[in-house]
Amino acid sequence: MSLTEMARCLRTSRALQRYLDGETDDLTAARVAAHLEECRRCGLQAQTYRAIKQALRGGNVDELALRRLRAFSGSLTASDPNADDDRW
Amino acid sequence: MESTGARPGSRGVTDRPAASSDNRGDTSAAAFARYVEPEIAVLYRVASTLVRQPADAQDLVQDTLVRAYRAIDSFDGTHPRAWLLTILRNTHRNRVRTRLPRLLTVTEHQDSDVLDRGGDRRSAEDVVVDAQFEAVVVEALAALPTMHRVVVQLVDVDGLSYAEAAEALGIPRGTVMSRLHRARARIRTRLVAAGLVPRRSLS
Repeated sequence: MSLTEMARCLRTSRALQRYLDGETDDLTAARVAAHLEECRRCGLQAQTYRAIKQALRGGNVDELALRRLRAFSGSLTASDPNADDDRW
Repeated sequence: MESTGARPGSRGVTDRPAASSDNRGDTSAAAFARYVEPEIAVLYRVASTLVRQPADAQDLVQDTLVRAYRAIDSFDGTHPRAWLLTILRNTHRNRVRTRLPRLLTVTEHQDSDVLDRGGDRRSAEDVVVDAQFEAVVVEALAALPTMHRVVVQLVDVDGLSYAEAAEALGIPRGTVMSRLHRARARIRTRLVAAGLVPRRSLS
């Protein structure tokens, strides 16, 4: 592996998490994406981190609780703001 | 001879100072509906990450909503989520101070909820491997130091941006990044140890 390649791997691994989270600027994103295409090692690493993110994504949200909260929220706006103290 | 000004008595005399304050309640409600209500789901997810009992999470969001409603008139309309997360964080802190001291403790059952997602259109093999993978990820997540785990949950489970997670926790964005980085590396290490990470190219 050449020094340039190593430097690219290093730079990629520094930016990888931000890249996967969509938190880089476009230029960095393009650079990382290009490197992940070229470099198998970094590509695999990215794949793993993607899978980790995916495994965690969007845990179940309790719909009932949400509905209750929305109703509560609705009751706030429907009532006198100063009367909130007694409402719950 | 005097000139009597003879004005009709009921004429408008001065410029009136603009609007009456009657519509204040209305605008508050409208602002609340616009800025706060769309964020309730996010608030609840974040609250569930910060406190593990679902009932406590609901209480926390309710308190947050009440405070948000009281403060809505002074909210300038920019970054409602960040604003709400700050309120949530402060509310949480106050509640923790006055009530139970069990901030951010691990409970297994909540983490296992993450697993309860059905794999529908996949082969049995895929389902099993994915389930194993997820099981290790969830286990690894639970084993992380609390402050690392919470960051992963806020970003990956709850879908917050770095800035929003930073807001929710009251820490700098850079700290969110470094914790996230370390946490994920640890999760990956566990996966490697469990033989669940492809070491060689699969394609």
